[in-house]
Amino acid sequence: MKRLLSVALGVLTAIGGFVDIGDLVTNAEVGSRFGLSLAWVTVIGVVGICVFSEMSGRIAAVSGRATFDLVRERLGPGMGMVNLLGSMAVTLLTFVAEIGGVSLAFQLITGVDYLLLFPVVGVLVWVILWRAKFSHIENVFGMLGLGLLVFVVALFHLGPDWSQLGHSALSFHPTRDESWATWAYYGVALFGAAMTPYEVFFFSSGGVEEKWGPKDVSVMRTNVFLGFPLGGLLSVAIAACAYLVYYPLQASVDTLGQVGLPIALALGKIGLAIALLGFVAATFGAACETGLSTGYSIAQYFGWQWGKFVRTDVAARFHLVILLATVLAMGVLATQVDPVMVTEASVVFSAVALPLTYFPILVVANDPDYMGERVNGRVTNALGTVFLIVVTVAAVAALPLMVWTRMGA
Amino acid sequence: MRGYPARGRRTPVHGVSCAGYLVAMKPAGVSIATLALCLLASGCAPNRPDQDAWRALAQQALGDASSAISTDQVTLEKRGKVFPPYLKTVVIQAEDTSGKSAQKFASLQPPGPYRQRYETVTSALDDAGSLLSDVRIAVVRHDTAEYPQLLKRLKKQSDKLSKLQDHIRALADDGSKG
Repeated sequence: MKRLLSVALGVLTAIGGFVDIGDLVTNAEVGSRFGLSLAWVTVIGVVGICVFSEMSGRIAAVSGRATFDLVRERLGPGMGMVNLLGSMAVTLLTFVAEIGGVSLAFQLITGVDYLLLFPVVGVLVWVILWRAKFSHIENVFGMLGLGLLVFVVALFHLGPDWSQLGHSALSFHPTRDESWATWAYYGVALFGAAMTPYEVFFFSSGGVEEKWGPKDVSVMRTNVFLGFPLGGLLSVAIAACAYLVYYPLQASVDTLGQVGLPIALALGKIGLAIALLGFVAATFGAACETGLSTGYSIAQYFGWQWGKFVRTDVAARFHLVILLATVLAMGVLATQVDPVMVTEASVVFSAVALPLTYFPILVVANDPDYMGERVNGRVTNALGTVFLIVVTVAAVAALPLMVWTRMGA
Repeated sequence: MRGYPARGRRTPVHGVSCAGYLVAMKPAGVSIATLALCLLASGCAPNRPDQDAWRALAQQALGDASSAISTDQVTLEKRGKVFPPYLKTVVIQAEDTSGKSAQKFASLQPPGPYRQRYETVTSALDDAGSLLSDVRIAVVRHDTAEYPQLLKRLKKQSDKLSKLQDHIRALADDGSKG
């Protein structure tokens, strides 16, 4: 019974924790402009994140060590540093976007400008990362993030023409007078949002924090293979809600307030209140995860003591990195940069950094010295290789598409 | 999300006063110095998109304004279903997003044949911006008596922007209807 509860909790937090500010904004924007014609990208992205999360979780469970801990040892300091720099830049950008996202969510609740709120949010994130237990951070925000399931309920309440939705999901081309380049750009952005690098750092380091062993591999797989696809379904529901409300108006989604409006139209104030709780939990949880990921990555690369499973004074440098990352993120937001724009940039740059993140995981998961008999099987390797090719194509296409389409304008 | 045109032409540099230094430098140094001077000089010049890019940017600015107008319209119509701070934030952000886009467009140098169209588009964007400000003022003041009138104006403005977008889409390179 205790094991069943543990699995259920893991699956629920995986669903609630799947969506962050990048998923919220990108899915709603894509839905409003392209309907569900890019839903297939989310499906592919979810399969990809499942494949690599399972690998990184298995590495943590079998070796008792996290991703960056092994990358440097297995691929050498040079390659490890390239990997660290690429992934860290994107994770920091995502951290800025998430703190901005929490502030925007609080602005929707209080009406106070996000520029007055982000310093408070930044300090709050840091205090939680410093003081709160790892399991509390993961479970509380993951469970509250389930409030976003209100998008699935709203989708039914909006009374869509299901055949039209299905037709939109199967039309693999741009809508109205949107260009192929813009459509492809948003495809890459959606892919980057679904496969954000920090997710695997957090997942594998979290496995070490929670002291996973080989016997926990089956529970970890259940969480990944049930929780993430259901989280992906939530992403598609967000896009579908935006499609139903904004597409007929020829309006595009540019703000977090617009993302929540379909919920209000479908379910009124109670639905909106639940969605707002979901916004805060999803972005706050992701801010904590990205903040921790910066500390994990740097500390693991340099071989410092890291983690929430030891006292803060024992992992002082790990906590110092988190503090510096938080100050940096607040400094960026203080420039009055639009957090939604940072979010859009972060998902595209995530796509650019994907090969740097996922290639080393595939290498380590194939090394019998670390993995013993839990080394990748043929199917996992085939999937891993296919996805490595897909992420490389997305990475190469991301920046030219960004310039060519003027960031999807 | 909305950026400046990538294909904007830059104004040529006039009156470089340090030509003597450039002659004395190595070719690579000359190239770098020239590039730096060009960048410095072009920083003071307005962005000059070509005709295709200008039409695309005009449509984009009109689309952003139209999005903001539609969002305000839906939010005001269904105001009973949202919390007051939410309503306020949505209309403030709609005004802000549309305003930034209009400001970017207004700063572009229109290609020759589009001088008059530029006036038409910027005038429509100004009208939209003014209406969005009126909505924000009424919402922040909780002036609910104004809402029915504002909703009528939003509908009218939305139609106007939509027609103008269609018109710009149909323009040929010489500025006439294609």
